[in-house]
Amino acid sequence: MQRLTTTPRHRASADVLFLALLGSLAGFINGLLGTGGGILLVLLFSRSAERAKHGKSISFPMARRDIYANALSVMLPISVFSATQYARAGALDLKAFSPMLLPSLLGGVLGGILLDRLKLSWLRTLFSLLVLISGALMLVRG
Amino acid sequence: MIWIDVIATFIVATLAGMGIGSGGLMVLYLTFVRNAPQLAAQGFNLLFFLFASASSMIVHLLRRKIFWLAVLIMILAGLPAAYLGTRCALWLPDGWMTRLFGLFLVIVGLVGVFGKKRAEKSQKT
Repeated sequence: MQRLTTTPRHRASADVLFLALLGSLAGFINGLLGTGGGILLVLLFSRSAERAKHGKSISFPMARRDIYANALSVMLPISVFSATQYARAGALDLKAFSPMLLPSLLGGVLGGILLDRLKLSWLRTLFSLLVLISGALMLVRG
Repeated sequence: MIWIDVIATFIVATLAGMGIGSGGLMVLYLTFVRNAPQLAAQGFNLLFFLFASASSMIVHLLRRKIFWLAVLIMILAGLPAAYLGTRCALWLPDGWMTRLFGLFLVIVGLVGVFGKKRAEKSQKT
């Protein structure tokens, strides 16, 4: 049987389609839940990084440590857009948020610096367990 | 109570900067501790994410490699989808939004716990 071969042009088109689908899914979840798009991107980028590690060729060979920054670069403008939509519908309380502005900024910078210096695997497991239990509670309470 | 909010925001923002799913935690804090309605908590979380991630982004941009073309394609595709998502969020009743958010957290939690175990297993082999 003849083996299917893909030209670089076909592969580039497939990559664009894949990225567009990924962006759409992340955007929809972000708009719907106010969060979550970034988590999805991190998971799928990690898969790509894993494939590249096992010698499979991919168009965007992202190193593990670059994954979060790339996901953030996608989700930041999308979140700005989602926030404007929530604001237009009156679902954003800017006055209530104002005292949280400074801790949000300072915490974000601190986290960015700590990312390279701490071993985070236990923290990630703790987070996963916490969201699992909370999610189950929300499903029951909702 | 405002000081507890400030401290909680700082801790969650630090986790956000480290890439540990902050969004879920902020919404959980607002709905479980502050009894905020689901949609209001989500809106608040979007604002929080903008500031926490924008500030950590500065650090990341200096240290990381960004695939700008891929990022641009995903943003262009993501914007109309985000519009659709927000329309759905505004249309669905609060109880449904809570359940959807709960389902999302369960999936993230399961992937976090079992995905990590699988990754560790594949690293050993």
